[in-house]
Amino acid sequence: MTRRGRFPLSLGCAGAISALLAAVVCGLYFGDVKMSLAELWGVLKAGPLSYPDETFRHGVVWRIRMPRVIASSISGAVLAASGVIFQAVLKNPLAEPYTLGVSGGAAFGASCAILTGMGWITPAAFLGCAAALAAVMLLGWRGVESDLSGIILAGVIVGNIFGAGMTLMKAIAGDKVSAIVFWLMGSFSAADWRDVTPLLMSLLVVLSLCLAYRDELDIFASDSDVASLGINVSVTRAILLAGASLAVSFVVSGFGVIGFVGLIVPHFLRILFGPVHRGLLAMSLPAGAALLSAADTAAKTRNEMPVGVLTVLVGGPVFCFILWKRK
Amino acid sequence: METKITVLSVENVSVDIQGTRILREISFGARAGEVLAILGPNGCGKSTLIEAILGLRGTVSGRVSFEGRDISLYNRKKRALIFAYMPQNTAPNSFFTVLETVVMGRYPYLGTFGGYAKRDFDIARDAIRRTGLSGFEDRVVSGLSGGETATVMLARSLAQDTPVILLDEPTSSLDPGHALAIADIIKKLAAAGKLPIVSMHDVNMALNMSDRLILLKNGRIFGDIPAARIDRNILAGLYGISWEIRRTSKGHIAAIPERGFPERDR
Repeated sequence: MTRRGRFPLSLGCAGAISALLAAVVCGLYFGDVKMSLAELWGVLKAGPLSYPDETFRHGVVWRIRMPRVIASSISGAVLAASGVIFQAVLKNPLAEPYTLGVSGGAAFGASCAILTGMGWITPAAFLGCAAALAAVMLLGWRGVESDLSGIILAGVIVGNIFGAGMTLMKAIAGDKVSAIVFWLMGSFSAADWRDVTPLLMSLLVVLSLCLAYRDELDIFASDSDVASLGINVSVTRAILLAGASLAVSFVVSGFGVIGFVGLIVPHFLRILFGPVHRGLLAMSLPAGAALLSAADTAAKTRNEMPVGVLTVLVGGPVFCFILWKRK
Repeated sequence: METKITVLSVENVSVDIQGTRILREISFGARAGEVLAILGPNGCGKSTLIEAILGLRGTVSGRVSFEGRDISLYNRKKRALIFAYMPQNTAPNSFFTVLETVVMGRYPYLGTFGGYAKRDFDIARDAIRRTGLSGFEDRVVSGLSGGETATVMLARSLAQDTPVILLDEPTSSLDPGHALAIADIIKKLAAAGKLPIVSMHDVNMALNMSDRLILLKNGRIFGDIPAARIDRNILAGLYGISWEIRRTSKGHIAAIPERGFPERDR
């Protein structure tokens, strides 16, 4: 196989950014309240702060649809880029943003909050993520230098322990079990402007990791000897794994466990554009954002079905097809 | 050769791995411009010695210094500017191309913000040309043969452009043609004033490509001799089997192992 199989990066970037723009427009256009594109344009032109003479449509677009589109886009970007980081650092095609157990931690934290009825589901879920991540880093620290399967194992086990805790919560939750199940499925339906700040922080974390460590990620992924090239292996790996997990924690604690994006988008982009991380990371941000916001718009217009289900049901077969064609 | 000063000195280096002493008070010096071969039976500590020189392996005692300075005073990136390393059995099963892989040898030269410059790619292309891989720049590494892959890793070490290059059995999985090609590149490195240090199992290859032999047995220095002074008694003592040494009309030395089993070391 030669490099000829790769698509040009500039074309891919242009495609992904146009797809993202299209997905954003669709996200703002489609919904229960129908409006024409001209009306949408008028509302957008009026800006977010025209409160004195705010129309109903203005409120729908700026207070409901806009934060939702932004939340799903940023979440998609963060999930896809951290998936790229995880697969490179752990040298494992099965690695994904939840490999270090943050989804189990989030689920446990959220179900605790729902069960006790104290509200604060997002902070509780984030606390769960942080606890799971701390436990995994502590358990797997020695493995970060040499034995990567140690840290993967630590992530799987800690995630399972928290997952079992969450199942226990469900068992004793009684009539609150449906709230837990609904949270677990993941949804952006409740996104509002207050969610945007933590998401921007998580995007900032991922962006800094991408910019600071793209060359190191290449070396990690190329499976070559890394220490003799002058990389401080254990510290760099720990920063990348913990940073990406932390960024994902903001997403998973706010909107539930959305699978697929962080696992498949990196594979998909690697097949199309090759393994060099400068391009891979640059592509993963708009591609992940476009995919998840488009999926969320589709989910929204299909009676608010869980967005995570939709991404897997549609994207899974597409990826199977690509794998098949590639052989 | 005598005028060249010692650039690398290894003094009383001992290494333990999981409670077992693998290297015992190893000392030797090496000059720029010579090819140093490390020979010895399996388990004698060849790879461990290379890792100790690189600073990848903690030592119990002793020190390794380059141009008079203890290398443990350098950080990893500085060390990567002194030592390049081609590990044993490198098989990067990656989808990176040859050029993308070789340019990674320039990693220690990257500035704060990273990103390889045009100059780094020029140096990588030059390393590819010197290792005879021209035309392979855009081939994906995972699609190459074992010999080609080993050559790619050698090219990456060349791109690192360091005064010392450590190669752990670079020819062990290669056919004679590829092995000779790599030996030639190593000789050229020494001629250009570098210090290649090569661990080997192939005695003949070592005898014909190196200037000096460091012989390791049971973690100790068994001998430190010019390659031309090899004799059957030294080899017999090192490997525990008898040898016949022949010098060919072209000036090559051939060492032929004779029947017998190595004595049990440990």
